[in-house]
Amino acid sequence: MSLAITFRSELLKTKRTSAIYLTVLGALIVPAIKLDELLTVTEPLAKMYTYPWEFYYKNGLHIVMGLLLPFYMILMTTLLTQIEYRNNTWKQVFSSPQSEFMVFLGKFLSLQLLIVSFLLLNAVLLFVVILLVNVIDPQLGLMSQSFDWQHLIKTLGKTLLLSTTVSSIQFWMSLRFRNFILPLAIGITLWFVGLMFIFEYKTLSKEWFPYSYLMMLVFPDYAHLHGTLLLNALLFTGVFLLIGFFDFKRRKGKV
Amino acid sequence: MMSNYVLQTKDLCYNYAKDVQTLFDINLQVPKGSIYGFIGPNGSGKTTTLSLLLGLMRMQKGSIRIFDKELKDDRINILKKIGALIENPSFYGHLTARENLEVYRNVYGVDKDRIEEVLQLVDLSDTGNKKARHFSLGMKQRLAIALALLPNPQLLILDEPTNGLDPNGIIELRELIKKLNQELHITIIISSHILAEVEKMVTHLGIIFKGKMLFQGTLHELHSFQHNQARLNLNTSDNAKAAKVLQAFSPEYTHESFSLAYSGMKQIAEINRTLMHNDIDVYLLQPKANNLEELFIDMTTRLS
Repeated sequence: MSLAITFRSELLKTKRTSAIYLTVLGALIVPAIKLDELLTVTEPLAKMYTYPWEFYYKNGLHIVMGLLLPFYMILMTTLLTQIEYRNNTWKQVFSSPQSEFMVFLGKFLSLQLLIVSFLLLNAVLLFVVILLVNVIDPQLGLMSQSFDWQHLIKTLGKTLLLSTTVSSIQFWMSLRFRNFILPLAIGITLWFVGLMFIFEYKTLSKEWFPYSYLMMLVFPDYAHLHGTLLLNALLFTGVFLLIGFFDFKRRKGKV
Repeated sequence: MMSNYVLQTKDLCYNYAKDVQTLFDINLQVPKGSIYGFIGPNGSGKTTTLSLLLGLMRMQKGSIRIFDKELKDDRINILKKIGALIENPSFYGHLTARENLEVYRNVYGVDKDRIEEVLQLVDLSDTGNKKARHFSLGMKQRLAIALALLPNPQLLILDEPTNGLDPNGIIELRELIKKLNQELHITIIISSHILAEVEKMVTHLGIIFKGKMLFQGTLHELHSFQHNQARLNLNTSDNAKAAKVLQAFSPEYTHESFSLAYSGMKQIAEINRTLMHNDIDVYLLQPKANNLEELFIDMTTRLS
């Protein structure tokens, strides 16, 4: 009950903040680019992709999962925790009848809700784009082709599970540092290193580097590692949430 | 048995660094229904003490009892009955006054109607959709007080609430605090570094300086203390000799002149006579300004 109250309170704080605007506008980026691509290509779409629904993932959801989502999470964790720092409200939060654990968990859950919203919004908007293209070019006949919903749900579920690692690390750092540049800079650097691991250092073991996980989910070469990645992600998330919480509790008087 | 004190601390100590102690054995006693002025210059330990009272910092030594319960044993339930404003007014600038209160409404478990009640109480009910960041400083301060009043508190802790307010704002706030105390019977702890600012509203006072309590009691007790502490400024042709012949009056050197303790006009005449009998010319013989502010400055400068 008290978690629900704290969670509601945390959500109310995000009203009219850049966290909300970023979620909505950020979710428009890939669908908008995709729409532009599909409307401007000169080749027939059927020739560009091996099966009709492929362009939902290729240069679509996969770009969101591997590139945009990690970047979004790095920005979002900073924006969410900055609500308290910028308004100087930490003392007010701690002098209200809420335990530190509930405040920590409430904030983390509100972050997760925004991440889920961002991902789902992307998934839905990409559908809208594809349907629009199908209206414009009915020869594609997408409506008569079956769509593998199970695969989509599985992919989205895996994405969310793997993303909790990066979001818990960034969450800890954003609570730790009053200066928002630090978690942002560290996060972007680690994300960049994660990309280099995937594209440049292919022989290196990446199962223990969470910032590469989402990209590994996109490439079929790493399909055999998905089980390990999910286990590692759960382990990392647990560890970083614990570290984050004890650090948050310890630093309470200093915020 | 219920104590008469809403809040009591026992030997409260705190140090931010290993070798720098900030608070030394603070024993606060805040009677039920009082307006307790917690006075001290900047950096004397007021905010640290108040932060400890709200559990914002980990207690290192001593104990805190609020509503007859140990704070460390029942912090959440105790905080449900406390409204607080610590340092700057804190609220979410991107939200309206109502939205700010709505953020905490369920946390304190109060009805929606309470939001309108407290907004009316602090005269902010007509702010509509105006974002809190666009409020004037006085309005911001009132919003922070509205937030502190939201839980229907039995104890209100206000840390330097007059900071940055203009004289009108200070008068309004003073009236509001008196009203809350007299009409709603809320016990109020109000900290300030200016005695004159709180002198007109408090019933009890605690004076803290360099982390130590110098005085605690009613306003009346402070006046008695002030009377006992009355001093006379003196400057003569030979201050060293004068101090020697007036040893019975506890002479104390302050810069170029010195002061004596006295307890009535007759003693002033007696001091003058003694100086004349000893061939000492008197340049200045003046009772020190007789107000609480002087006493406060005296108390704190004597120890600095």
